[in-house]
Amino acid sequence: MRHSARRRLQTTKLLTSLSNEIIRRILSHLDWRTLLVLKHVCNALHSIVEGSPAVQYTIELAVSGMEDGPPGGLTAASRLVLLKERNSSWEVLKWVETRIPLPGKVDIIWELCGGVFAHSNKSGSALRLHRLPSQYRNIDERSWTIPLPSDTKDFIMDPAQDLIALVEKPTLLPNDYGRSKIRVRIRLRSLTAGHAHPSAVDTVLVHDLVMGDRRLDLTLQLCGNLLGVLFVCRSGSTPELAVWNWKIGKLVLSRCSRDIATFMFLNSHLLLVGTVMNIVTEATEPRLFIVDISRPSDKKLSLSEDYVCAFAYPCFDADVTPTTISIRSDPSADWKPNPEARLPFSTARWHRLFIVTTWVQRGRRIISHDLFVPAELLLSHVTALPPGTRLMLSPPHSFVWTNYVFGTKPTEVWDFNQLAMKRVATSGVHNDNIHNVYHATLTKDKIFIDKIRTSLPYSVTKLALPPCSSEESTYTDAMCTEDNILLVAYKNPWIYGIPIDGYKSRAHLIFSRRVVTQKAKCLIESSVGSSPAAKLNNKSKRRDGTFDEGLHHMPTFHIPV
Amino acid sequence: MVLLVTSDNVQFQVDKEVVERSVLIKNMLEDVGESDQSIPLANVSSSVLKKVIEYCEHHRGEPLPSADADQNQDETRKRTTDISEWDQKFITVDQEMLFEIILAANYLDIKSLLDVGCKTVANMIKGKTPEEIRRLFNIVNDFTPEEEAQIKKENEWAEDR
Repeated sequence: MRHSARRRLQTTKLLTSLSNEIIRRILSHLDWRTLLVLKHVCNALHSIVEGSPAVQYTIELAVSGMEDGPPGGLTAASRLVLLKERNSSWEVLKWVETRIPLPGKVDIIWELCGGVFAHSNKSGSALRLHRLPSQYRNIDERSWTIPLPSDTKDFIMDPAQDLIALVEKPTLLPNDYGRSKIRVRIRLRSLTAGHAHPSAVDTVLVHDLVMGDRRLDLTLQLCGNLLGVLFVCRSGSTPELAVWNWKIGKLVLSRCSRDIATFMFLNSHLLLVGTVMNIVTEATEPRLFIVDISRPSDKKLSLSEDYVCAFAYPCFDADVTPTTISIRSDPSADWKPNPEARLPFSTARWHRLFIVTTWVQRGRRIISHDLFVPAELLLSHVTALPPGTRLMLSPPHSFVWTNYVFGTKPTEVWDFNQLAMKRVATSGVHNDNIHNVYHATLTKDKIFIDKIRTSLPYSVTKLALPPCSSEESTYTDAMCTEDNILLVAYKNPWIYGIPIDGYKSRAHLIFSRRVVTQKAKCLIESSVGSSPAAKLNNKSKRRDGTFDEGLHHMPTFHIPV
Repeated sequence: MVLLVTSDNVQFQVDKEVVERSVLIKNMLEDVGESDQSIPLANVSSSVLKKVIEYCEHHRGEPLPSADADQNQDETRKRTTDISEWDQKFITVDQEMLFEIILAANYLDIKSLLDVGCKTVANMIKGKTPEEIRRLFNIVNDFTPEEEAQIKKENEWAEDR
């Protein structure tokens, strides 16, 4: 009896009598939420959670929507310091000016991806690349030049894989039994050296398209081994979506369908495809489809017949005609930096935001809406606009999200990171620079038959623009990377310079890769925290127009639209 | 063969290859060289050592993690709590034995076994409320009501809506 009583006494002490080192080892296997729960248990566990830099780093990463970098080098304690400094720099938004002069020329091609900005030079013979610096992630500023073939139409790059894919201007092929064909070649090169990419078996991908016209619009996307190109012919031939495994030079998907308007990789086997046309009913109807490219499929199949799941928009008013749709997310959902770069942390792959823009026409007016959707929500199987998204009117005078209020007025950075917002909101710390938007966005103008209520909260950080020189007159666009915000200044009407803030970023940018003189669409993407657990999974709900019951009862703020 | 003597004076004859999964014993053997001397394990009881030897026997011949890998893993340990089927069965013991195995694995420096034990405890904690964790491990809530309210307030943001 005495013996067993002693044993029980021992048991009561066991977990907390393990050494702190062993307890920390146990904690290293726990997720951030469980770690916070442990703080509630007793004083001993509370002080271990509070006192361990590794545990605090785990929690801070989750709240920041970041994931840890490769092991080695920095300790958890120093990573934690860097992460906190970085987060606060995104609240302060201090400008550090660097200028990238751009050639004053109409048809330069450019792109911003993975913290690298690239643009063609004046003669179009070279590509200038600028790696934007980050103090907190130990990224040095670097500029270099690689040759650019003169017949390049567009390009896409992935600094993490040292890859640039250059698409040639298409050439007309001899008429094939009455069908005109064009040929497109895509060169795969090293982004840093400009030579053939060492990981590609075939360094040139050749693709023939049944199209009546060489005037093509291209949408390019990269996701790991996959390179996707949407070919849209301006003369109205059927668009074709082609996806290659660029490493082995194999075409893994080729889909010709009238209804494909836009696409984006969700991960290494799922594509998000946008359409405004229902081929079956011939009605215009914006929808998003998730297509599994790992499943074998007939190339002629239309989207409406071969998809994993579909997202419908609410019904539009009778005199409203949807015209087109675009999906933006940069970098793509699965993108991660090169492990060899040894970055201490980077935006978590599962915390990305997609922005789906639809354009509709009513009479002579064109109206656009932006739908902000966390990637993880898209991957859950829902059939209509899910709760935890936000649909709102695009700003009418500019497509730029970081600074659509110009001149002396401050600009704004929108951050959709839910956890960080909640933590700030309950901490009692007040920052005049930042306010949170919780109230639902209601659609007006009778674009939709019913009132649509959507409500993904976001925080707005006010950002004062650095003064423009007299030559530049004004900033016209803003772009965002993980570490920087870039402003584009036009000088009559060409781009003149880009000041770079070498400090900031939580948001990433989404924008179309187009000729600079066309108005670039810039949207902020940002890390997104946990998505609401509630899911809308029946189509009947989309008619009643209520998409979110779980609204916060918080002060509302005016959205400057 | 190596002769091990436990805290309750029980002797175990174990293959050198098996017993060398313990870095502590491996280093001891290297220090003393060829010898018939027994190794006293003052911190390990016979019932625990029996389990430890069972584990080492099963994993005989598997590569040992290097010291370097251990360090890296500690920095950015992957938060997986996957445990192989055999290990899972092996570690299905009462709580007291589980903690004893963890302590023994720590003392004998058998990293893979220490990990299995720590992961098991982590799995027991996951998804539980503070009160459930207290009950599970017989922990006394030693917070004052004020402290408890304060912690609850601090953590409010992390709660699911």
